[in-house]
Amino acid sequence: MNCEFYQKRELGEINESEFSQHLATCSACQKLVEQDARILTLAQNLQKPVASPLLWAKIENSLRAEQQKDHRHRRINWSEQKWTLLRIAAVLLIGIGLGSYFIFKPKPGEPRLLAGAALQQVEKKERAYAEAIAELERAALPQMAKLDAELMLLYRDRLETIEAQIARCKEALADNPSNAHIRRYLLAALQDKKETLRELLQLAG
Amino acid sequence: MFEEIEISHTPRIDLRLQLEEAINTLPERMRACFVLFAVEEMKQDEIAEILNLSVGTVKAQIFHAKARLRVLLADAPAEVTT
Repeated sequence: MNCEFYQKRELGEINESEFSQHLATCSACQKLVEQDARILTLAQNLQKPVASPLLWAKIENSLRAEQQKDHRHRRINWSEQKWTLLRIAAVLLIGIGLGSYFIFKPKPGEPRLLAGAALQQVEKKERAYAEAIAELERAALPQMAKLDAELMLLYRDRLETIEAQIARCKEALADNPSNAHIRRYLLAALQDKKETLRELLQLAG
Repeated sequence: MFEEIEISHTPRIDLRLQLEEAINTLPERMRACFVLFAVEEMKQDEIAEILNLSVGTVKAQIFHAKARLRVLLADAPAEVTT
């Protein structure tokens, strides 16, 4: 007693409706299905699982193996993440270190921090320079109105940018007055402002 | 491929014992699939997950288990009936 349709149905190669159509006309399949039903009914009525210590051991082993696999997978994932974070942190540290070195690197022969007397001298000259620029500003700013609107806006934006730069330097110097590099940036900003005001006066004059 | 099974009336308890004996003669993996499917009434995909098998393999194992049980029960003095 054999039928290809029965085997295909059992192996999931054809769907139930297809098999049902065939079943209506196939006595061999009808017999097989009937026998299956009886075997399954009988099996379902068994009081307890068939004695099979190996089966349950295998099921337990499978579950344990699955749990271990999940655990290992999680551990590997954490391990990978940890290494990725460490790599990122290392790259950032190196980047920040190198960046800081090149930004704040003292010029040859120049001390990184200004000594007390030198600092006073620098501050005095800075104040004088700033006063001179303020005077230039007082003369230049009224002249700005003589420029055409576009040029006036351009110079106003430029001066505002320089002012912001000067303010940032002064703020940094309040915390660290001996830092020669910030002093140099401040000086550069003041020079930039002086040049801008001078240009402004020339254009207006 | 399949042996035809004669239907007759025998005490139910004998049939159970025969079926248990027949199931115990199945190969380990086949027995596991069949017992989980027929006795524990699990779905094929659940069995596949528990036993780390593909659903196709589970289907094939159940199919072959039923074929073997038919033969084994047909050889037994009593036949399959309810």
